[in-house]
Amino acid sequence: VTAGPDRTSAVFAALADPTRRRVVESLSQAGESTATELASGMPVTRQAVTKHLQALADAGLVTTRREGREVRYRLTPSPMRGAVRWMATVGAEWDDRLEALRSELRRH
Amino acid sequence: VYSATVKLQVSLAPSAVIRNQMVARAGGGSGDPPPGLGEPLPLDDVEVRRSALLDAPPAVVWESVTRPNRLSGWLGGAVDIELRPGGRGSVRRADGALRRIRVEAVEPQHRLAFRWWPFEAPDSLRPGGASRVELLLEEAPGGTRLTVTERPAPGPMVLSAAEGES
Repeated sequence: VTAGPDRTSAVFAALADPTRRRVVESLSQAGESTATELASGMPVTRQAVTKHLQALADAGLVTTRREGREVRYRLTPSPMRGAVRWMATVGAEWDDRLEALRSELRRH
Repeated sequence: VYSATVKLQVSLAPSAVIRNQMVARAGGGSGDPPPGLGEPLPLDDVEVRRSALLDAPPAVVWESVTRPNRLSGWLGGAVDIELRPGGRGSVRRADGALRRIRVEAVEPQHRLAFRWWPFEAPDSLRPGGASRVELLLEEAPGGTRLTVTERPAPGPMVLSAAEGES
């Protein structure tokens, strides 16, 4: 993946969506996976996950490989990958925490 | 070296707006590291920022972000924290994982900054590793705007060395 201003914008736009951050987080933990495997750990359909994977692939974050009838996805190796993982993981944690904080405030 | 900023708004609830901002600058290409274990971060300037409009005044939000029993209700585990610069603390998750906290700044009802790191890997800069968190509270129409910023930061080994501890 070549890095440049356009590519970087595409990366951040792709990571703007909370579900896509979850997908990146899952891929970084589970390694290469199918859309079905990824969807099993998330409250979204396989179709929705496939759409998000496509957006991530368009941004160069995800690489696809066909194996028989399955398409397998993995994070694209790049100098940005460490940064992408960090932001996807830590961003998803704060999404959760801020939701929990809202609930906590409603209880008081 | 280049940088990019993307700002966007995501609606989470009718009254809730969260503004996300992610900023990163990529370092030089260091080749492709082996997969699986996660790589050291090539990032001198990566951060995650979340901003949420909360339906409570700053004084109430401050309690939620500083009192151990309130923090334990949302930060992800049982929280213990000594609320002063240099104060120690910890977060113990339900699965037993322990994260240590070192408080850096306390400005009542306005700002709390701390470092935290996993007990087992105190100086890792990988996801879940050592980082610095800042919580900023600002009075806003209808409540409080809370802005959270987290970025990788040196862990306790570096902090201890800087403080001359053994």
